[in-house]
Amino acid sequence: MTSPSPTTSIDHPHGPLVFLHETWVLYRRAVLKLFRRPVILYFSLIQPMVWLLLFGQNFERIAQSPGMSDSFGGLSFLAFFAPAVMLQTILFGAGQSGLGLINDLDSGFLEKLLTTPINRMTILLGRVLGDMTRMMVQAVIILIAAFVGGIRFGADGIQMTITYYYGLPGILAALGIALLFGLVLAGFNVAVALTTRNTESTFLISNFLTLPLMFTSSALLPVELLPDWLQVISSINPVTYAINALRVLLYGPAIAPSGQHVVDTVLIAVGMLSVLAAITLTVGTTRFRYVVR
Amino acid sequence: MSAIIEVQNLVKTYPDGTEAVRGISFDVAEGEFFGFLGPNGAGKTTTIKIIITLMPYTSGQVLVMGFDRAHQANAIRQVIGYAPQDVGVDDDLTGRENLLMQGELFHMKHTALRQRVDELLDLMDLTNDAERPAGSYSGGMRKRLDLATGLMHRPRILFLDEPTTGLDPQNRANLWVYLERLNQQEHLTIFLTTHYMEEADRLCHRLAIIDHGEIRTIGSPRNLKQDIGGDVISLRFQSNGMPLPEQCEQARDLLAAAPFALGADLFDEGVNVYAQQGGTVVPELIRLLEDHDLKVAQLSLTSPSLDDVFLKHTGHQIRQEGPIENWRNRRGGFGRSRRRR
Ligand SMILES: Nc1ncnc2c1ncn2[C@@H]1O[C@H](COP(=O)(O)OP(=O)(O)O)[C@@H](O)[C@H]1O
Ligand SMILES: [Mg+2]
Repeated sequence: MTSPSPTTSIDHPHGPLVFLHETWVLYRRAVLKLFRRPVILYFSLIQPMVWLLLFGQNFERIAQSPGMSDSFGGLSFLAFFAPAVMLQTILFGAGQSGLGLINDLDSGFLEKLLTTPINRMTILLGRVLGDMTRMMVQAVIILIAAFVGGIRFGADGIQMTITYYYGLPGILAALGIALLFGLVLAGFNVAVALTTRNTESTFLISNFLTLPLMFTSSALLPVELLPDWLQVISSINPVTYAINALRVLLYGPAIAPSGQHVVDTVLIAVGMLSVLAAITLTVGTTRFRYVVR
Repeated sequence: MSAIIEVQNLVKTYPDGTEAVRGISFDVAEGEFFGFLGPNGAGKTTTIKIIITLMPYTSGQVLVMGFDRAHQANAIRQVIGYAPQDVGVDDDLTGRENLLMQGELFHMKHTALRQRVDELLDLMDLTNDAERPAGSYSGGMRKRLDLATGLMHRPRILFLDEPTTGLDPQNRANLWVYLERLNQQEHLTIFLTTHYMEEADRLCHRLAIIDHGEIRTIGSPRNLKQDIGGDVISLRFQSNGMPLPEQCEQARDLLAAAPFALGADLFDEGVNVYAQQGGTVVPELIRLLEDHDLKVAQLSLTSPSLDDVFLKHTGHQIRQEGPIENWRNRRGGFGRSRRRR
């Protein structure tokens, strides 16, 4: 038996530039999809907006009441609550990226990609970067909404109830924390999606996780106002640490957990989230390698 | 003609013990339109997925253009195109964007890339719909776009897994024309699987009949039909007190041994008899049956079809349950809304 010698070039190029190019092409697809279905983006923001603007109003008096305002670092409840809503949006939106992956699995799209000579890891990377982009867009929208929601029109003119202690650098650093938090979830999603391989379960798992994680953290109230048993849980809930870091980066030392230096609050969060991200991304990557092996 | 695909003793046993492919061997020649014809679960998809490097195999040898599947997977990926059974296009992207993305993943350069996209849009008659999201396409259009994306990098072999399952008859016939065009005009080798007799008959230069993970016979549709020899006489019987299956078996045994017949097979609730110049043996045949108290209720005389070929080589009829079983609601789930413009 003889075989024809190939006339097409059979060498798929190699190297870091090739890797970047392939990642870029797949990342662009993810972002393009995001904006082709803006409904999903908006939809995922409706619930957080309701929380932010309505829930925020309900608690406003509590945060302002004489005995309490110290615990809230003198912040309006809206300001206090905004970082929590940011993370909630990321948590809630996390399920969607898993759904996207399952869709690619079911539709034959992934299969087709896998018959091309591209580097397998670019498929995962393109998707995770796409998710990160969506999360950043959502986080920025929440920040803007909170800021706008905090504008008061009083007798003495327009008044901003939310001020950013460290200005733009603080905001950017806060977004960085949100990004790291998103990375934890991106890894988690990939792992869940590739393990269940089923849209319903993936959706349920991410939905099921969001609220308990929020309620057992410092999202709604400062930790010292929580019942004892919740304080214990919140002290091992990573959401608590992420939210604490967001708050100090946005609003300054007054809101730092009692006796804690701002830098420590941030470093603890960065450390904790990095470790978690490393774990979830490793598991996610392993699952992915298994699926595309 | 030389072999562009060579498969030797390929075996695939899934981890759960399912023996999906049980030692098959076949060659596909360059430029050939080759087909796997077999019912659901025969092992068609498994074989394709092994050849196109999507799935590991248990043992055997697979060469594609001389590249060994075992350790030259990336070289194989460079020369093949694939259209999965479930259409692998991104519904959110436009037709053109789908093609561009595929080409970019193969590192095609700007001018060449754009030219190729236009060329394929034209070839598949999608130029006018190129700027619409693929999700708004009809089933036939999506399939054509899927084919086109698989062709972006000018592969030498195109693999099609049940390309027309789920399409209505009109779209199916329509797609056949495109496939023939690709095979003839682009000199593309095509490997197709199907469970539709007419599809295999119409398109394939050569086909393998596959059942339960084994190849039962290989040949051109014409030769396979000729091999049956003569005509097919299909018989059904009136009730004579005996259970129908027993009647059929008795008739089959009688006829298989009859000097005028080349052979006989059972099918659903009747018997197929193969005979040279079928028309002339009918009187004799009926007499023989009546001597044994078997009364013919229905008799038809046809020249052999692939159905008969399939029956002869597998001992059963191909079950046409495919379209329903294979039809997955790929737009189901969350947020997969259909958009129309
Ligand atoms: N992932 C799998 N694990 C176990 N068995 C499988 C798997 N995929 C397919 N099979 C089994 O292998 C056999 C061949 O399947 P397949 O190649 O899909 O057939 P076809 O494409 O001809 O319908 C069937 O019995 C099927 O149930
Ligand atoms: Mg199949």
